[in-house]
Amino acid sequence: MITKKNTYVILASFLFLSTQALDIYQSTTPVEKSKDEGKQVFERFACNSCHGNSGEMEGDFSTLKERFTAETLPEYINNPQAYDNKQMPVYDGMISDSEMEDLVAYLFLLGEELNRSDD
Amino acid sequence: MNVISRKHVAILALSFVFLSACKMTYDSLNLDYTIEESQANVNEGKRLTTVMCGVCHYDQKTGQMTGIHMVDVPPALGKIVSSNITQHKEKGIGNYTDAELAQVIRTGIAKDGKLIPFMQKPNLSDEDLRDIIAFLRSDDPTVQPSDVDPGSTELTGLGKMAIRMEKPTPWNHPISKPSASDTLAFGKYLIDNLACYDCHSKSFAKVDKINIEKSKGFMGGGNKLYNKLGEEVLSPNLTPHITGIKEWSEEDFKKAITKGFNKDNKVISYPMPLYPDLKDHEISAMFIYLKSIDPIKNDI
Repeated sequence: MITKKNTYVILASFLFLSTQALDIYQSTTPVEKSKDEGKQVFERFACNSCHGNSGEMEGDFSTLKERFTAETLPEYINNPQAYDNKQMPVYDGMISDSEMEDLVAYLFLLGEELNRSDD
Repeated sequence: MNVISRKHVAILALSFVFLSACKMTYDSLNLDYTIEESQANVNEGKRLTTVMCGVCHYDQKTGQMTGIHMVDVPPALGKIVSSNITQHKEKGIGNYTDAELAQVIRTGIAKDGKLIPFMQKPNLSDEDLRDIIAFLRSDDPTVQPSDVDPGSTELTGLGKMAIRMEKPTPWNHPISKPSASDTLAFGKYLIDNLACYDCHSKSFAKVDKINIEKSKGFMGGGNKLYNKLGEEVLSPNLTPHITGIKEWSEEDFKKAITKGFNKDNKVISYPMPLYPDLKDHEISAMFIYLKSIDPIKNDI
């Protein structure tokens, strides 16, 4: 038998679940979150002052995926001088692992966007 | 009234005399100069060329000294492009003699007589000049003939006027290099020939290339430069004032100029070049010299 109490419980559960579902729907997707955080790191470390806001200047971001993987790009960023790039700051010890992860994901994304805009 | 007054005539005449006196081309000095190759140290020449010339002439894209567009220069002066200094006979310096190279480096007068006032090094020692020229003549890949054309310098009216105001620096010979044990003189020599004073003093228009300490606001920063986004960047104060580097340690200074992070671990970006090829004793001498100059209050 469905009592009044049960009805309230069901109604309350329905409302609770609906708001949770709405929250999930409205929240940023993981990709977007990473993109935002990567962009923040990109700008905080003044990468844009040489590479441009969209990676369109120094460094040819459009071929980034051909030249690096998610494992090798952090090695380059941490010590560009080892790759004969003497004008890029040495980020080793200056950037956290999570910041580097967000940054690398963002750099690849910029490369993809540049390639799409070329098509 | 459309009447041309005596005052106007006088101003026009004075302007004409002034502009006539300012030239953009000069006669060659016809120097009697050749390098003694047997004495030259090509490896040292490469290091010196990298830190003194590479900042403006090395192109990361070509991996050679093919010249670049100098975007840090105030746009009001126009587009400034550094030259291809590879051994290419038409596009580079393949047709320059030793004397012509020495002349352009020390006085700014190029082979064709044009004045290049951005790179004059009147106090560069004979020893370093010889090593740099020997390197430019070497078989190093970065200076092998390349026909890459980095583009042309296109000055605005203001830029042309600014160039006309500049003069060739004198050809002095011989010039000996300060001993590394004379720390202050050696540090000053490096601040001079790495052209630190050029960007870090008050204004490009007020620097004294012969006696760098007479430059207005010597090493006190505040000179207007531009990053690659076209945003204005003021050069930092490097004098031993609390608004400069008074509280910096030698390690802080070394980190700044070799790794690109300041005392507070804030990134130092373009147009500040990095100098990972400088030796520890050179960085130390530069730092000790900077700590010895007059402090200037200038909170950038």
